[in-house]
Amino acid sequence: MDYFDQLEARLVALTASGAHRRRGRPAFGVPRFGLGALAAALSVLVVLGVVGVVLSAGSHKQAPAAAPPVGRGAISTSLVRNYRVLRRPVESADRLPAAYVRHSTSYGLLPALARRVVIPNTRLEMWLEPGQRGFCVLIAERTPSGAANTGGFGGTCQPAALQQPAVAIGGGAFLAAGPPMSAHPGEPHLASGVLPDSVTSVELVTAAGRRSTVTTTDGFFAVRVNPNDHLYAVTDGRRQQIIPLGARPGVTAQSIPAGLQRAFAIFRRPRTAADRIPSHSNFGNVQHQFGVNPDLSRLALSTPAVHGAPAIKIWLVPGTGFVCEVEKEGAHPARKPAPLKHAGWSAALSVAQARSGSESYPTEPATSGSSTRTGHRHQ
Amino acid sequence: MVHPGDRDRWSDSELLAAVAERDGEAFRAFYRRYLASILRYLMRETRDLEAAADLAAEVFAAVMLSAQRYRPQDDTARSWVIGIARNTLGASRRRGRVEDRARRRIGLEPLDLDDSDLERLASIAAGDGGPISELVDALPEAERQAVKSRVLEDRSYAQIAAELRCSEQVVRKRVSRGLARVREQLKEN
Repeated sequence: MDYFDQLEARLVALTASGAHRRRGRPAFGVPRFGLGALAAALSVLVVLGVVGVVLSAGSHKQAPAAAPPVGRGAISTSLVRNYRVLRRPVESADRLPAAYVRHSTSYGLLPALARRVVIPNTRLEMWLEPGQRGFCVLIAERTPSGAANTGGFGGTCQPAALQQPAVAIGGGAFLAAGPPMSAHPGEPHLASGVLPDSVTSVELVTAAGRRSTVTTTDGFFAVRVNPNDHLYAVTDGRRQQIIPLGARPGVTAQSIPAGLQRAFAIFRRPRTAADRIPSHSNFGNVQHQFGVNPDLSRLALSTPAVHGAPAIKIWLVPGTGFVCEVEKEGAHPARKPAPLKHAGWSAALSVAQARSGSESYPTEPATSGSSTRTGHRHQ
Repeated sequence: MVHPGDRDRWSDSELLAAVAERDGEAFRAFYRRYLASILRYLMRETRDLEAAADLAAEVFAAVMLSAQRYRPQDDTARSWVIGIARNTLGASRRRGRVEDRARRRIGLEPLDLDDSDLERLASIAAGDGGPISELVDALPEAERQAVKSRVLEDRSYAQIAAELRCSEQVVRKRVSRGLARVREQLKEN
């Protein structure tokens, strides 16, 4: 019996059982409340109304130009609250190229709800791709003829939890730098990022102290930088390291750094069989770049598939200067079969600052910030 | 005019009145009458097979809930049903996820959706020569042949394999790849 036959059979049975008449009120009518509950509901509605006004107050006033596909989950509310670009309607120009959508496998990403920003006076375009538990920022450079670059794109991902003010690092800015998509030797690198609404200014600072103000577009920026510069971004006066992509390989961590042990209880307990990451086909790239050691991983979260949400497992893997989060998401429970699939990996992040302002981890000199990255690059 | 026992001959308003009075067979007749139209509408709007299937379930749950409030204005309830589909879709877009209020209200559990369901959905959506049939026509020869035989002509894998002189496994692979390509194209378009 297929989906539509099952649907028919169940709806017929529910009709016969009177499921639609049980509570005797219209499908989307006003629920019955007592006066107290009604007053409480009204106050909630007032708040929702304010939120609604805020959410609709984006810079783009026009209605969506095309019908976007509907995702299966809601965007993390903290993302919507922190990034104004997510508060404007989705437009047809926002659509992610199919090649990029194929990588949308972590954090319950909703590619249909991605928003695009074009960096003025360049051929660069960036997307913020939101998800239920995190988000990715993608960057690509269009060809000189203006066509989409199907040969490669860069991307970085981060769990939404790090955007919460209580745990945000460096104001939650999202920063990364790496070679341009064309990747010709000697070309300047790109430093790019997206800033939450709370950040109003960003400067790039080299280790030698040279400063340059960065222009943002809807919170996004992408500028060409010298690959040899050790770069920091100063967002509202707070210095953050910009994570280098595709650069200096890290030295593989041989033990869990003390800073991480202080920050995470799971790194203070013995490793068990469950802490082992079962498969990590893409993981080698992260290991190479951030010195993370899968042999030191710890299983941080494991949730079964329930109530329409897929099973999720998250491991934390320590490295030299970074800790990497690896997330695997199971197939949607409404599909068959639903085993955990090798759905991808994401995010390297320094975490010590999230727990204590005085932590000095990671080990990069004078670092006080974090970022995350992934390396979906096809060449 | 009600024709007892033969609900296929009942008018939409007769069916909906009976649904309001807990007549499961009336709901079945109404569902069969409008499933294809609703799926085609949702496919045109979402260009997403899975979302269309999910939304269709919500639309029919809402139909069940709203049947008692139906007031006939035409010979058919087509515009009323499409209106429910439009509202469901609009609410889903606003919320960023497929609406499920009506299903929760009547206690309809999520249903499994697998490749064969998507095949059937593609077949229904292609029934009016819509965007899917164009995309199927654009598939590579081997995949087009397999998808058309399986999805549009509803032939068994064994029959197709015998005709194409290959294994059933190869046919399944071609159908699966072809459908994946169609889905990809739908999203891209």
